[in-house]
Amino acid sequence: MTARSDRPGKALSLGLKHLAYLIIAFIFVLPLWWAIVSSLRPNSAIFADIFPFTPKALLPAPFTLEAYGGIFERGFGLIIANTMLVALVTMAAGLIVNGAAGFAFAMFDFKGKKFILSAIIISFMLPFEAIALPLYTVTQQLGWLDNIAALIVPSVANGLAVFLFYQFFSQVPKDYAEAARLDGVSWIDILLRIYVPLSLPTCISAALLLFIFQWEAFLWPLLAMPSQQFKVIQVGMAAFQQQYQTIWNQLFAVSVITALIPIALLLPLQRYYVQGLAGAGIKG
Amino acid sequence: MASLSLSKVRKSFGETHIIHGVDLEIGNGEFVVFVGPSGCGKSTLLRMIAGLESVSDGTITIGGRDVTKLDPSERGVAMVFQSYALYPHMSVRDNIGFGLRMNGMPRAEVERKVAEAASALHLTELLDRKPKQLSGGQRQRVAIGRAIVRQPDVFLFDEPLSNLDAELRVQMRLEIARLHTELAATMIYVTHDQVEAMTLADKIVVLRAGRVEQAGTPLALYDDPANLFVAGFIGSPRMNFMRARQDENGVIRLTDHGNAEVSLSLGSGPQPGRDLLLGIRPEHFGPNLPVRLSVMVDLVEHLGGASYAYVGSGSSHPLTLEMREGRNVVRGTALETGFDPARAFLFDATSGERIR
Ligand SMILES: Nc1ncnc2c1ncn2[C@@H]1O[C@H](COP(=O)(O)OP(=O)(O)O)[C@@H](O)[C@H]1O
Ligand SMILES: [Mg+2]
Repeated sequence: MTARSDRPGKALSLGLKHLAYLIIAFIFVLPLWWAIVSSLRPNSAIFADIFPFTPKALLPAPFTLEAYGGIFERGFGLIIANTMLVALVTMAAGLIVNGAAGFAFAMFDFKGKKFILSAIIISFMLPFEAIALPLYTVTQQLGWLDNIAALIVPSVANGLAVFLFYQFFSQVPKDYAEAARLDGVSWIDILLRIYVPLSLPTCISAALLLFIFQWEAFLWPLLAMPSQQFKVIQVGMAAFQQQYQTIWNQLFAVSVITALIPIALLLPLQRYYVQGLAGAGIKG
Repeated sequence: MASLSLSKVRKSFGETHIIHGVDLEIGNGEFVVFVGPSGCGKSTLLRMIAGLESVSDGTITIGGRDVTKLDPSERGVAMVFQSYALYPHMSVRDNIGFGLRMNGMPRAEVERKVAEAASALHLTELLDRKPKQLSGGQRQRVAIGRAIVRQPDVFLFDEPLSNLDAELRVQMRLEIARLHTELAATMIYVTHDQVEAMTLADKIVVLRAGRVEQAGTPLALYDDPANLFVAGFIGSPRMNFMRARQDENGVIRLTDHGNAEVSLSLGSGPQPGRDLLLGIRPEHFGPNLPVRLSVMVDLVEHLGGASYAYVGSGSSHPLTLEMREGRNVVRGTALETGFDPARAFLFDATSGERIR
């Protein structure tokens, strides 16, 4: 009985709470939303409902997809494809290299292991700017400037990804590997058939990490591809902004695509991503 | 099936010496139990036999073959881990067959072997389950099944029952004993539980701090312990130890019990002036026996067939007396009891050595 008399009050406070959440969430997504809305308007109507502001500014009206058509005509599709190629190859190669490295650190004892591990941890704490110049020199001497290898190879080995794998694999009870060794299972099968299936969240975290790292790369592609024949998305976006300063709706369309592709990847997998990163810190 | 021998086997982790020269012969088809307190090196020794730990010094042979430096998979051993180590993402069927498949055995043959092992262990109904859908006892049986299908020369068990509750432990103990008879395989079994050791073993190896204190049949260890440690470790309730000294006439006297005289038939006897301990098992106390003791009972436990009277609890040398008759004893009863010196063991209190 008492429960029933409480109910309207509770419902009201619950409603208020949700309203507050909604407002906060709205404030956070507002910039992105406005970018999406603007990318769906004709260029002439971009600022139509803002000065003076009317709520219509938050709706894509009048609605048109011409901005998206426009950027693909200007070759933006190729830029997306380039970036996808770089990011996916990095991701695949990175999973193999960093996973194998993490596995080796977790499984074997060898001279200098602690030292190398510390070096790896330091390597992902260094800002990229600190190594950009030496890396540029090396790339130049290899003759890789303006070669797609310059974008992929240096990013394959990733200290944070190695550390993630190392951290996860060291938490897997050693008994599994030992039982398998007694059964004559090779190390590669132990890694692929026991450790990898057990570490799917970590693999997904590492994969996203590598992908996003490449997706966001700007400074290095700019340095490593001086002739700008092969453009990746951040560089392409910057160039686009310089070139077409007043085609607002197309600029917004470029930004939206750049932001939404990683989000579209992250959202369905974010459960794993957060799990992997959190696990790296807490479980000891 | 194979015999196994350890010769001067040592193990150090860095500067820490864990196993100090173990010599051991294990016969074909024997069931050997390594028993000892926690941390004495039982697991380490077993893992050295398995090849999971390197051997710092000495040699290990299995079936006459020197395996000291061989890879675990080349030694013909299978191991059941304390944690069971069942692969959590594989079904029972895949867990049991994994090793066989990875070694290139044809699928049909793996199927057949898995089915065979499963029916021997009553796992047939559970083949499609994942480990986390199994009870402790079922997981244990899967772990054993995984060992059986490989038809190893030697089975190694590391405290396989310690994660089970008491009732299941007894049941699985019987099952392992049955398995040993059926397979007629050499088995080495590690436990810290001396009851498991007594009930399962053909031969018990008592370890302490990386050394073999004594090896022998359960009854040999029980009836003829080589030293104080084995005497105290084997048997439940444990053996009683009473302080004793040898007087100037060479007579052994119990210093805490009115200097009662114990006439033992000793060979060379103790060196003069040593502190001695006289060991007597709880079941060897009784009325009207040659050495008389008067004791005050602290506590009585009735277990049905037998009752235990505890004397001098909290003192450095308490006594436990087993009584099968005349059990109307309560706390505070002054009890006249005694023992036959032929049943007693004499030890040097300092070195722990048996004095014969
Ligand atoms: N990998 C290792 N590194 C260092 N010390 C170890 C290692 N494994 C075991 N030990 C030490 O060896 C001793 C014996 O361990 P263990 O064989 O596991 O004992 P038990 O199985 O008899 O309880 C313990 O003191 C343990 O701390
Ligand atoms: Mg152990």
